[in-house]
Amino acid sequence: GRNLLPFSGIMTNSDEQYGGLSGPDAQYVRLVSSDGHEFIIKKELALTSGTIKAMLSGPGQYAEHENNEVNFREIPSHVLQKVCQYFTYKVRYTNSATEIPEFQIAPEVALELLMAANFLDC
Amino acid sequence: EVVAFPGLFTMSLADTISAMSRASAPAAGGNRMRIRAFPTAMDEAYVEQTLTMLQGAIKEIQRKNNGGLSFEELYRNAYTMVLHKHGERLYKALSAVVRDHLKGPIRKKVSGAMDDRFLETLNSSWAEHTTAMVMIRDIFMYMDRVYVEQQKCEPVYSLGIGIFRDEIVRQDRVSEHLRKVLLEMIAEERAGVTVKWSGIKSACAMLVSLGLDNKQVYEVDFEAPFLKETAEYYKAASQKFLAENCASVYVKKVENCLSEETDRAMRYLDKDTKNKLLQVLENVLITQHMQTVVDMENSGLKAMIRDDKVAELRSLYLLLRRVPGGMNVMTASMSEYLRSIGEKLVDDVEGVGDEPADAAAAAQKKDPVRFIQELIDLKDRFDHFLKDAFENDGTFKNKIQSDFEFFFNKNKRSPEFLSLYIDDKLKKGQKCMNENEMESMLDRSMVLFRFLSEKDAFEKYYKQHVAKRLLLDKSISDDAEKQMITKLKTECGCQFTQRLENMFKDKEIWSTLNTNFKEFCNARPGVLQMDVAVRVLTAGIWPTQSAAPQCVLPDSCNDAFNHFKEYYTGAHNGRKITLNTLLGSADIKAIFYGATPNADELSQQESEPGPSHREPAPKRKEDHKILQVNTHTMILLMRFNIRPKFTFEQLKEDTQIPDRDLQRCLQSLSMGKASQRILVRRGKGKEIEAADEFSVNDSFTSKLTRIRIQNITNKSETEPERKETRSKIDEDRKHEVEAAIVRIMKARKTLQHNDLVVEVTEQLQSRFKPDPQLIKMRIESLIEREYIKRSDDNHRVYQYQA
Repeated sequence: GRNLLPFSGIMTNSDEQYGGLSGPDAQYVRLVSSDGHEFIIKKELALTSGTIKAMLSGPGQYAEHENNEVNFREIPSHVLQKVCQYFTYKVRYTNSATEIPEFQIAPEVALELLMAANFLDC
Repeated sequence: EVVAFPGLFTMSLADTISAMSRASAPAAGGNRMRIRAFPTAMDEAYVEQTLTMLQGAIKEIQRKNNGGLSFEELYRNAYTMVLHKHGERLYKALSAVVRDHLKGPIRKKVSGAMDDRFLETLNSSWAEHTTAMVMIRDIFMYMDRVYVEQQKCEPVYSLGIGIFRDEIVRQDRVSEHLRKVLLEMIAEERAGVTVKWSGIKSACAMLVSLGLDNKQVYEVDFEAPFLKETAEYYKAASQKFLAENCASVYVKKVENCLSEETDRAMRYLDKDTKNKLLQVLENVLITQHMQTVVDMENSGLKAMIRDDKVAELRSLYLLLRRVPGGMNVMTASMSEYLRSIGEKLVDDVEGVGDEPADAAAAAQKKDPVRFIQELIDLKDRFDHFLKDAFENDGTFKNKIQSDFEFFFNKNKRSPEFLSLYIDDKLKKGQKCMNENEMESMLDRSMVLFRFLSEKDAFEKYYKQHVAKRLLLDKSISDDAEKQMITKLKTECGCQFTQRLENMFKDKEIWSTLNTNFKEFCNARPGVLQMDVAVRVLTAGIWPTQSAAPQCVLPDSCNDAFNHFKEYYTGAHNGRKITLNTLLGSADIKAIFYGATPNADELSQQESEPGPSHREPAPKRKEDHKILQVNTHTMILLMRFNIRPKFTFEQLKEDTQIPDRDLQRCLQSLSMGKASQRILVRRGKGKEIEAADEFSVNDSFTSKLTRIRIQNITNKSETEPERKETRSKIDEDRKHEVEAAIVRIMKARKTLQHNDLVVEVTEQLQSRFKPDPQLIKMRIESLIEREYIKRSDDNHRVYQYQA
């Protein structure tokens, strides 16, 4: 199923209405967890990860680049969700003058999250 | 309790989590959280499989077939390998694939294209290789971050570059051939052929990259040979330019070369090459030839100055400014030119150099006013060059200044002449100048003043001339005089202008004085037989001749003076006044009786002593004139009331007027213009002799009723006058040197001889340059008079004596 994250924005059904999942100027990317959950987030946020950045903006014409979609074979959805939240948190509060709240991490997810962060270089 | 650390955005998510768990597990030691692999091990087969898969993928990438590959899969596999401690195998495998590819197909491609396709082939191979390496690096990013970091070996991308360098560029003489091709192309472009310069640009960029962290590959393989060839090319070209063209055209050609080559460098060479290139060019085109260009006959610097070619001078200046020594070459040449003109000007003025052979040659010599004017004009001219061609460059400014100082001071009479110039401008009868013109003229005079090394001599002359102007009422305006004094004061301090200001103070009293005297006279009618205007000069302030002559005044004048004396000493108790006949003037009434046609009557006149204005014979008509003369002339003429004829000797005895003065007066009266010939002279020689006879010229006529008799004076001093002034100056200098010595010794108490000389010179340099000999003599004199003494242990050291 699709998880639409509160930070990600608009809720609709079709790709076309996003106006931005296909083509090189696409505003959104689709991140798919190992258990099939699709996370559609703004591309700008996903580029927080060095790995995703290389994948999507490097010179190579990889499959991911073509379809604007990344399949993470080893990252489960409960971890990938947290990662997406982190992307949002990071972009929101970098160079911000306002008070920065804590980024809450439940201890049971910490280790897997750490592995994912390591993998994703973020 | 889980606590995240907000605000720590320098840390990544990974570090944040590490820090967090470290905080909640205080017992954990160590600094870095190490990720250990999950318990599942990789077996050998799986490792081999992964390696093969990755190598295959790389090959696809190298063949530009990478569409459709999944990045995530490749990345994850490489990641897993490193995680399971197979980093070394992975690294080696990667190396091997890249090397094989380059050693094989690529090398073949490149060495097979050693013809006109060479550059294109090499460039495209390089471009493809770098693109592939970026992609490979991305896939192996984790290995770079962790394995490479730990092992301190070459990161993936640099590894790839190094392999290209070793397997392609450094093989089969590729780098030699590359150099050859590049230099050929550049030579062609210089010859005017259009070349595909983008190829050169790519090749240069490649060479730069091949050096990894420095530009050595580029520098050795291309840049150094390029610069060498450029130097040779332009060395030959410049000889040719120089032989075929005049200076300004050469300058233009060089400007064009520089701009063309700069353009080239910016278009397709590495950015650091530009400056090296310019240095080479500047050396070959400018430094090597600048002396020749500047010295070129008829088109070099001197010709440009002579012909007022400002734009050309400016271009030359801007060009030569680029190189060390350029400015000196130019200023040396300019200085030569300026000095030769200046010296010629200085030699040409009257009173300098050998006595002119005859009147014609004497007439050629300039008068002082014109001399100064020409110097001012020359300075103006060079100021204009300085501003418009040389951008107010300090080197040029200083050179011009020192040149002017040099030749201006070569003429020992410059201080006097400068003062005469200003005198000329401040005298009545000049064309009217408005305020701005006056200010500008005075400022220009000050510019020359600053060049003088003998400012004290100027002071003396200036005082004399001001005095004359004031006394003879010749000054054009008090304001202008005061303006000049202010300027001198600003330049030299109060001491310089003290006396001048005092002279003005005296002058300001004159009109009041005369009014009061008139009242005094009115109260005693009948005493004074003529109109008298008196000027009182405070002694010591006004420059006077060493001894005011005591001439014999006519009685009426004597009475008038005594009357004034009575008034003045009455009004000012304790003061003493004496009459100075050198500076006064008089209006006298003269009656001329017309020419006598009868020779008998003439002889009759000669034999009878008696006044010339006895009862006139009927046919004579009276011609009344008023003559404006100076005091001495007045005394002279009044003698002719007693007798009609006098010899020079007689006049001298009767009047006691000094010889020189008497001669001058008589010359003016008898040998000047017809409109001034009051007297008739009977004498032989050019000069007036003792036995010459003088009588009234009754046939004197003039349209004017009031005639001013001008004295034939030199504006400038005669030789004896100059000697006198010079000796006065020397006398003053002695005192100034002594004053300086005493001042310095009082402050220092003890001083060595050489140090004293240096300090004295420094103190006095704004007025004149004291001769060390003079200083020595003055020291001796002061020792004699016990102001200072020699130290007992060292006779080169002096001590102050209170």
